[in-house]
Amino acid sequence: MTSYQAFVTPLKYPDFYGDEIEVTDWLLSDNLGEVTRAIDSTDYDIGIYTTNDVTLVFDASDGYLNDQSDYRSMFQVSRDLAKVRVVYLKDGVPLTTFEGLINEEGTSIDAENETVSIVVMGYDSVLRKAVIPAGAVQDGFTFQQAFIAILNSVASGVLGINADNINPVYNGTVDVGTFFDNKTAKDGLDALLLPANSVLIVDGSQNVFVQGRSESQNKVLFLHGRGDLLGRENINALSNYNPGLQRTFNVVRVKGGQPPADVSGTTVSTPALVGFYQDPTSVSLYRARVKEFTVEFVTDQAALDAIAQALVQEFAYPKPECEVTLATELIQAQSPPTDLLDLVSINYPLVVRPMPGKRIPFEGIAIEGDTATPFPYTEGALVIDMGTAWKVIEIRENPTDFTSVLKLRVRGSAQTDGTFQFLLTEGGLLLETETGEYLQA
Amino acid sequence: VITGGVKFFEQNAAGLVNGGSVVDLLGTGSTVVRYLIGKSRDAYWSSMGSNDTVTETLILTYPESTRDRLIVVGHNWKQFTAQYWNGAAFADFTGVRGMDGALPGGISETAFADPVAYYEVNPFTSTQVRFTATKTQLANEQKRAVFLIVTSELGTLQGFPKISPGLVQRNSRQMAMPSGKKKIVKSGEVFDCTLDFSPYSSNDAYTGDLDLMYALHDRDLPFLMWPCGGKRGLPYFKYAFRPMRLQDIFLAQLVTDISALYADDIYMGPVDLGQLEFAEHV
Repeated sequence: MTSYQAFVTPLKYPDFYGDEIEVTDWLLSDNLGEVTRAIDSTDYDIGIYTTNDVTLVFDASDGYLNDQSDYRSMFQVSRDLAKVRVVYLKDGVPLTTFEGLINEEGTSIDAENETVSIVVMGYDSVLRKAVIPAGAVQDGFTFQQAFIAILNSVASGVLGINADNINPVYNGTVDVGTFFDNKTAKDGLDALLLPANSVLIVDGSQNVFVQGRSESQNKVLFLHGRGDLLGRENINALSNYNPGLQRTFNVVRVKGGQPPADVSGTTVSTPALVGFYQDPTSVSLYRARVKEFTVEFVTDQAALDAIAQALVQEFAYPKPECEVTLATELIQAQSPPTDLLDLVSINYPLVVRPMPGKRIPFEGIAIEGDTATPFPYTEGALVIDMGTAWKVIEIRENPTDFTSVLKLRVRGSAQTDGTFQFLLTEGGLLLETETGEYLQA
Repeated sequence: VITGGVKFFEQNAAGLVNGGSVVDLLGTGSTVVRYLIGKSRDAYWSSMGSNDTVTETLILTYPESTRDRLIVVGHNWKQFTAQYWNGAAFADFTGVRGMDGALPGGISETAFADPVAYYEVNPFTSTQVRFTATKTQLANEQKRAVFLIVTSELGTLQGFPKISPGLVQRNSRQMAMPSGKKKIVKSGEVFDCTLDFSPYSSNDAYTGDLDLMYALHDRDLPFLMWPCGGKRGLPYFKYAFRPMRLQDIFLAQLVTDISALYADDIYMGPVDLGQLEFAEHV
């Protein structure tokens, strides 16, 4: 049985939240659509973290969810930026949770039907609506310091920010701190994430992480296709499989900023330096796949070259991508539930069926020439070996039918680092994680 | 003989997805032994290099539970035994009743001739069941089996609702070709069985059947369905179509809602539960 619960945490004072209040009885329609969170999932580019927005329709006949101008409202200070949590339950067990902040710009009241539509944005929306104060990022800050300064200046009341969680892969130096002045936090963070070769993730507890694209360790979600001879089929659909060339970049040119210089007493702009790096092997294999962008706050040649090198090393070789649809409860059954950058094994063999009245000739027991076990029928458009190590780059949960779509990308950055280590035992296949732990496949 | 009609069981306690494992003690067919606790009817375990003088031993291990049914599906064993681990040793089952009647000495067959062996036993609490197989129904073949199932019975229909229909699907997909012909691709066999309870007797002997349908409707977990209920050949069938054959036991779920009414509005009369569709579950 499907049910849902909705909760609102209003602001008690500016920047200070009160207690969470259940408003399930006011929630009329759940136009939740898909609950999405993603990194790097847009085809043809290197992306950053995003979440979707949802619109919830509440009963407004008693004005309880109207804005603070209505004396009957639950919002004493402001409806804008109040926290919203919607929990979808299957047979009483929470499966999908959407959390976000009310965006007052999108709300509207239908007086005739006595309803109020409230737009709720993902928690990262606070980054879209805040401006970085001038001087927050100083010349000479490392990228890590810049991330922390920006996040602390705009999101400390809503998102959990801990310096230990801010670990850019390339921790360069900001040469022109004024670049960030008065930009939205999202624009500033986007500008930092690309040269830092990092992604920003907001976890289920609203903690912010800046980290590389490497997969998380020691947890693998095992998925099986319809051809699994042990009958463990748990993939509802597999689609959009591609070799990953659309996100392959083996030549990167990074244009730096144009710092002012004093020439004979006159301040002039100097020509921008350009950082460059290419992977000749990848270029010979896949032709030149060029990415160009500008990092205005870096003016050092060596740093620009290093930025280009880091990105080429990350994206020089194609890594296949695909989308799998599965029951959300499979994701939730993991401990903790499967999240972005977690590992996935897909066992998607051909469908093998015996000839009518015959048996399949299995390796190890088949006897050459045995007429009872002739070569079987095989069928299928795609074969994926379970030893291929995939990582999650996008999760789209559909809370109404309790299915989820995982967009997956093969892990690693080199030509040969996209597989698990194997150990074949009598009990089946074991996958070895990087820390030496074995997981039953 | 065992009584009743269609039987329903819990999932295989020793199933791979339920935390079970299986060992082929001689190891001659060890690479395929896990198929015995999987879900594919096309995959199977087979010995290698065996004959009627060699005893193959298979041991199921599973999380401790209390069960009362054993089923061996798709096998060719003539002489075989089954015992359970009582905490100190492998012991014989008690209160054993097979498809043809009581087996006072436990499960020890010497002239078995069916592709499915089914046993009702007194409830036993254990973590292991051991099967040994020595002779095959056609002498000196490799020993084979598709499933080893340790389970509990959920219920048996005492009446006989109309099978309407027993469906065998191949998930055929048609692709139109430029010539006007069609290319047709078929997948593996999938069962679907509809039982027609419209109307159904409300006599005391059959109200348990109605309760069983509601119990299955309430279940979230799939269950094993055995449409023939262990009946085979005369005097039960002149011809057993699929899925009424002995080997047609499959994981199922009741997919239709129950829309009940009293036939002819007579509350004391038969009950109409409608047509209940049981679809094969992954």
